[in-house]
Amino acid sequence: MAGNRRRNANAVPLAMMASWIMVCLTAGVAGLGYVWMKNQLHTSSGSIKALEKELAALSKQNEVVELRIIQASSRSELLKRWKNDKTHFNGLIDIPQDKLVFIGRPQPGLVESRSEDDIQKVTNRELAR
Amino acid sequence: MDNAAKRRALWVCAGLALVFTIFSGKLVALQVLQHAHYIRSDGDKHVNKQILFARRGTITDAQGEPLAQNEPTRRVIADAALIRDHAAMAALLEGPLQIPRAQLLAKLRRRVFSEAVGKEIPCRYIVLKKDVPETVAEALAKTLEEGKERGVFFESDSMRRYPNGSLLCHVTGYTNGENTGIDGVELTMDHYLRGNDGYRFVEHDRTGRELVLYRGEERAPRNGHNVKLTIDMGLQSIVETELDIAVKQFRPKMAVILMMRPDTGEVLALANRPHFDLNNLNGVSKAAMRNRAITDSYEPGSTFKIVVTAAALTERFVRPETPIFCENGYFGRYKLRDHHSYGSLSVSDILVKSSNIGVCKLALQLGEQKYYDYVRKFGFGESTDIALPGEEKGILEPPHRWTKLTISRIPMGHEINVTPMQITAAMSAVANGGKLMMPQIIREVTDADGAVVRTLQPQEVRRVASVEAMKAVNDALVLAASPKGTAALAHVSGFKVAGKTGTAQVIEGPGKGYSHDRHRTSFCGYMPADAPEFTCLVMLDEPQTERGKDMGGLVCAPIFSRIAERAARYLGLTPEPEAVPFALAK
Repeated sequence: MAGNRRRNANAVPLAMMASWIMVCLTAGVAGLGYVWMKNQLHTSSGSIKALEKELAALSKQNEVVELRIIQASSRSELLKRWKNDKTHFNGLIDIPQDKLVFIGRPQPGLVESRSEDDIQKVTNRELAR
Repeated sequence: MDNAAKRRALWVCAGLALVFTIFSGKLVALQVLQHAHYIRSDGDKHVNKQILFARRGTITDAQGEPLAQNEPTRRVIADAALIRDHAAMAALLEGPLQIPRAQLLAKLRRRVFSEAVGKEIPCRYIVLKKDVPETVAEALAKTLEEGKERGVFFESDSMRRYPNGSLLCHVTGYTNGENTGIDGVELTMDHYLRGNDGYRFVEHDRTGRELVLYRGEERAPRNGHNVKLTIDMGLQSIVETELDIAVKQFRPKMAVILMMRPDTGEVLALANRPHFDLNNLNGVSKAAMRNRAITDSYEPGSTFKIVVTAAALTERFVRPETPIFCENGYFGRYKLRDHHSYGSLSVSDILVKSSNIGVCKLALQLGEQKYYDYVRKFGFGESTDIALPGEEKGILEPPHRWTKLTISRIPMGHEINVTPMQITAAMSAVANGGKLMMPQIIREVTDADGAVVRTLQPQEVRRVASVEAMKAVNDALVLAASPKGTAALAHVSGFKVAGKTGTAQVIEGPGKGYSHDRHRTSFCGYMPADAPEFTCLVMLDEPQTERGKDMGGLVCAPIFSRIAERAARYLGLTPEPEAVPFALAK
């Protein structure tokens, strides 16, 4: 076989090889990318689930605490605590009726000055005496 | 290539083509023809419809004080297909869930028929227990995780909690295990409160863990609306405290106190005895659960005299000062007696002295039909349409069913049954100058974000009497609550009180007539008389007192006085100096 003929017959088809390598590389990278992305999706969904759980737990905790506050500050509970406390919350007691003094509206004629800061006459007769 | 080789190659090709055709056929069968079947089968195994529970709305009083709230709980669910050892699982769950082991085992072994598989399979959704507290559920989840047990899950849920326990129990009502309203506002406003549950289709892996990536169709839940009542817990608390004191003192069969704003018909406080704890319904009798302010009707006695007086004055048959002869205490034609003998009394004094004969004569002047029309106009014999369940409309017979004596009995509050709500609404009509207002218990409905969904405006049902007539009745009721009248003990220092007492005999039983010893006592009044802030009815059924002292003026009027005095302080009403001190006037 002539030398130039042999060179032509056994020549390495570099261009074709390069294009095939590119095709394989592209397919490989695409495949790996797909797997990687799929994996990312799984990881993200796991994180989503974990965050959802955390959020739900926090929200529940919040509700529980809120309810505890409401119960602890409810009228019946406060009354119970007030009754059980020997000092009645340091002397917090209902004012008896005979110790109440009602401040009435100033009556025309009875009041010389109409300034808002003036002390008004009391309606309790015993005190007015 | 020779022919033999060609033939062999053909056979191989034909064989390969056949194999691939079979594969393709199977593929088509799986993917197209049996697609639905396999999807269903797969769904049965791995896909669940997860319910996303809506939060029930809250109930608050007019000031925003919480009356009904939700406590987050868990619902314990089992997937029997994932449980390896039922007996071991039952032993593990027995303690925390407080369910007998046998009962748990029966639940875990439940099987259901699957259409996809065509046979019975282990049940994949078994509710083991509802309303498990968060702490218990968390501890149980930890135990299951440590023991590497699978097949038990926890769903978010909530249960109703009532921070005030028994306070306002008959109004608030309660829910059942499914969070559906059963009584009170919980029932009547259930369509607003309950919201809409959402759902989500979720796929699980072999171990039962959710595959978030493959979540299917989803609909978010819509939380329930919040309901604001007209009730003021400050006033409610005053009413309940005084009612407790009264019940301790008089030991009545039952008692009702009702407070209403006369101008709007808003119910400010409502308390019944017996009552119950909303957080503990075990063993509560049906009698204790009855909201007697609307479910029980009774003969009102003398408080009902306001109707005939207002009617006679509106029709101008009489004037407040017109004298009426009261037959010196006994009206033979109608077999009617007064507590004291009266000769002539003015129309006003008839109310002040509570003369049975006087009101009978006013009704006779009106005539049966006209009087009946007025009674209906005042709202008796029809329900008030308040947003509470089980309301009675009372008993009021039409005139053609009346006996000869009926016209003499209804004006004094006998032969007619009314509910405490009706009589309070009627008294409020007197207080506001003649407008019958529809009693209201709901003020506002807001959504979960606080936006107003519905506001309930005060609703005037009708005008029941003229302004002048109501002014005259008001003046008479002020005198009734003065030292001259039957309700002197209703007095409140610094305020003008108006009101009417009622002492009705209790019916002994069918055909046995009225009892002479047992009475239903009441007082219905309002304050301040000139510009009323509230109407209040106090009613005690058969109070235990010394003989002859079980009267509305002696039992209920002082209770009203105490409530009104405290309510005035709470509402910041300014007292006026009295022209003549009450003690001296007495």
